[in-house]
Amino acid sequence: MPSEMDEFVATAREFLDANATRRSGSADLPEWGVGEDRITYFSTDPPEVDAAKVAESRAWQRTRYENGFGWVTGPRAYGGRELSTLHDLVYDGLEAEYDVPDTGVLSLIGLGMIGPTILAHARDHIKDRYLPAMYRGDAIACQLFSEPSAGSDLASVETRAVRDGDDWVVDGQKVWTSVAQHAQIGLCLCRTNPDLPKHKGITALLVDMSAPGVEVRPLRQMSGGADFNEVFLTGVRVPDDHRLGEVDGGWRVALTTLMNERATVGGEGAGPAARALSLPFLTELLRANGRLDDGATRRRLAELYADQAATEYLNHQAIRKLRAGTQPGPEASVSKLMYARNLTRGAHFAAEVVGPRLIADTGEWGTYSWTELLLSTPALRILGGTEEIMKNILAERVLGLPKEPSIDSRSPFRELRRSGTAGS
Amino acid sequence: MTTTSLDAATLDLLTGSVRELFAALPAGGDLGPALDELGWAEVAAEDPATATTLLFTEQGRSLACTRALDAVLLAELDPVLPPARGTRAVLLPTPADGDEPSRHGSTLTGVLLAPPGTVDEIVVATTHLADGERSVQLDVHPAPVLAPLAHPVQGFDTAGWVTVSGARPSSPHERIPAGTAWTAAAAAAQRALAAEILGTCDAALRIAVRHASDRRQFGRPIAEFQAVRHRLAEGLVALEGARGVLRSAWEVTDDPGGAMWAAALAKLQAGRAQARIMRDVVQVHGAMGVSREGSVHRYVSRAAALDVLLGGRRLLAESMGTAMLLTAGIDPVARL
Ligand SMILES: Cc1cc2nc3c(=O)[nH]c(=O)nc-3n(C[C@H](O)[C@H](O)[C@H](O)COP(=O)(O)OP(=O)(O)OC[C@H]3O[C@@H](n4cnc5c(N)ncnc54)[C@H](O)[C@@H]3O)c2cc1C
Repeated sequence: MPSEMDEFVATAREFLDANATRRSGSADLPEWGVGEDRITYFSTDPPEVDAAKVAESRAWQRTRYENGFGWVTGPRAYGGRELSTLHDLVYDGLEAEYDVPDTGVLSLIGLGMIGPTILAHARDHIKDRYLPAMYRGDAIACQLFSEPSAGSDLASVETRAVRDGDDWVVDGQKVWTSVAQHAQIGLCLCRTNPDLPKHKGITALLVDMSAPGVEVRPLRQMSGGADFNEVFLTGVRVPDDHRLGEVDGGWRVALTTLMNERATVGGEGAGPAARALSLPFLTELLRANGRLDDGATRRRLAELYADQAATEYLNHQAIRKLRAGTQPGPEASVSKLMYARNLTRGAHFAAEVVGPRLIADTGEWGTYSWTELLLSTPALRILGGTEEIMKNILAERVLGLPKEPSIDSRSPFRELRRSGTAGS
Repeated sequence: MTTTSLDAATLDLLTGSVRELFAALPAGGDLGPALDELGWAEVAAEDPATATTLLFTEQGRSLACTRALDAVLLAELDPVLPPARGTRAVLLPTPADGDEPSRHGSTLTGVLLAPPGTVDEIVVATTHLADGERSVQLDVHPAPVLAPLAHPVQGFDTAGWVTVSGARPSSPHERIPAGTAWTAAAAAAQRALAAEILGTCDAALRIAVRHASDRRQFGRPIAEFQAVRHRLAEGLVALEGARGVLRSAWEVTDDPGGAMWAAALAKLQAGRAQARIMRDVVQVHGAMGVSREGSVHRYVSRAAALDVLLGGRRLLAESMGTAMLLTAGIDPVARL
């Protein structure tokens, strides 16, 4: 008798065979010299192309959802299957064998970070309203956290939310907001009580991105793409039932998002970049460049592989925990650090093998395309908490070392502002 | 050339003038007239090391795109060439070839600092291999001959460079043996490029220092966090180290073999310094560093582009390493 997992695999295969094309290469190996010569982490497409790709991602997510593969671990009430995280990972593995649209625009932030936050902190009717829409691909969510003067020091957000009847009125500016240009909703951290210490006067609101007063302006990344934005909020009305968590209790909500962020950066959706840095693809790169017999190169390839294997293992552990509803602890910072490092090292390794053709586009397949990846990797050491902040978290929260001197997190936010020690 | 004959006050004055000159230079502008006005030729004759390093450092700092590098190469090549008919540029080796001109054959590849239409003649060097001997020969083509082979460089930087690739045009005259002129020209150009790279690094490091002092998080300037200040301090170490190697390269210019090694070493160290410094400058800026909002990205991409001209750091490290192992008696460091 086939086990329950065998049956799951069989139905997943059946679904994928019916709705997608199997890749010609093995599992997730793009064929060397064949197909689109691009290795991107962030989108560098012009807006029209970008919009078309987002539409494809939405359509594929909808197909998944309608066939029971859109939210394998999710509660049935919101269209999930309530299956184990193992099922989820197994499905991901199967899907990697097929040529399907990359759904990073939905999954990295919305489904990976905001979805779990809504599930943990929103009221039931808000969950009913948004969770199925998100997992069906209809609602893309963005993370309205960072501000011009609140980056690493996120708890000093200044965007104000003031209560007015049943609504909050939100005024302020967010920055570096990924996918805001495609998003229907955004999770926004607002200052609601400046008289409390900075971590205590924040409230988390779910903002309708099409509401009057929300303005999204694109910012361009060094790698060329315009996939993050400035978001201006001017007198935006948000009903109180769109609040997540308690009034002034938004920091707890934010922590749910941040923990999920640290654990999912690199967990999924790395798409073409992850495939390009896979062992088979890198081996082809060495072959094409006549470097297979070079001892030093081989050693570095093996080291890269070992580091990737370690990170992948930690990531899987974290994803398992997350999808099983357990909050990963501060140790999630380990895999975030390692992931950014691996991608950086991988890009540099390729750069070394390809040589100067990387900088000037000569049209030769598999050379200049690495540039986009090389230009993307510095961002990975910054987004989702910088390398330095990750190390501080590990030092203080895991190793138990004392905090750096003179970081004041007790005084009321308003006083810190006034005394010029802004941000504390 | 060991002594610096310009005193500190003159040097400061000159630096100020050159900096102003670059600040006033329109995009694609010609440096020549402004330099003539400064009496640059005299300065360069009196103290070529200081003059060249100063000029290219400031060019790097200002992110200007000029044909100053052509002038450096031509100073070595012109003596073996027929008299120029108008203005000249030099076809630089394509980055994959390092400092070796494209091999003799049916195709021609290379990089020009500006489109062929901006000069009258283009000097093309070619590497010949015969009986294991490597020699370089020179052609002077009328610029329009290369125009059909030229394409704007796509990619990292928009310095206005042009790649040349296609069927090699036939020689307009007997090929001219370069003798040691190409080696000397390439070495001079590597020294100039090293200075330019270090100029971009210096400017970027200063921007990062200012940003770290101005940007407040957790109630204080981020420069107060050791993780941040140590990055900046490491940048300074890389910069000063590379500057030292460049200065020492100017002390052996009279010995052709030594000059070649020392120039390559200077270029290598400048390339390594920029990789390190730019990485840290970006990190210190946070998201601003990876966006096109601030100016950081311009320094990052320019320095990376300059690095690959006439021998990128990876290529140079590999070729120097190979030469050190295979060629007895080569010890570029000891020869400095
Ligand atoms: C590609 C990309 C996408 C992003 N997407 C989003 C998004 O969707 N939503 C969102 O809200 N934000 C987003 N961000 C913003 C990101 O979260 C911030 O950039 C990050 O938290 C750092 O803040 P900052 O850029 O202001 O840098 P800063 O905080 O100004 O840091 C500058 C430098 O100082 C260092 N530093 C700061 N504090 C300390 C300390 N205590 N100890 C040691 N060093 C310190 C930092 O490590 C860094 O090197 C994105 C960023 C990038 C690059």
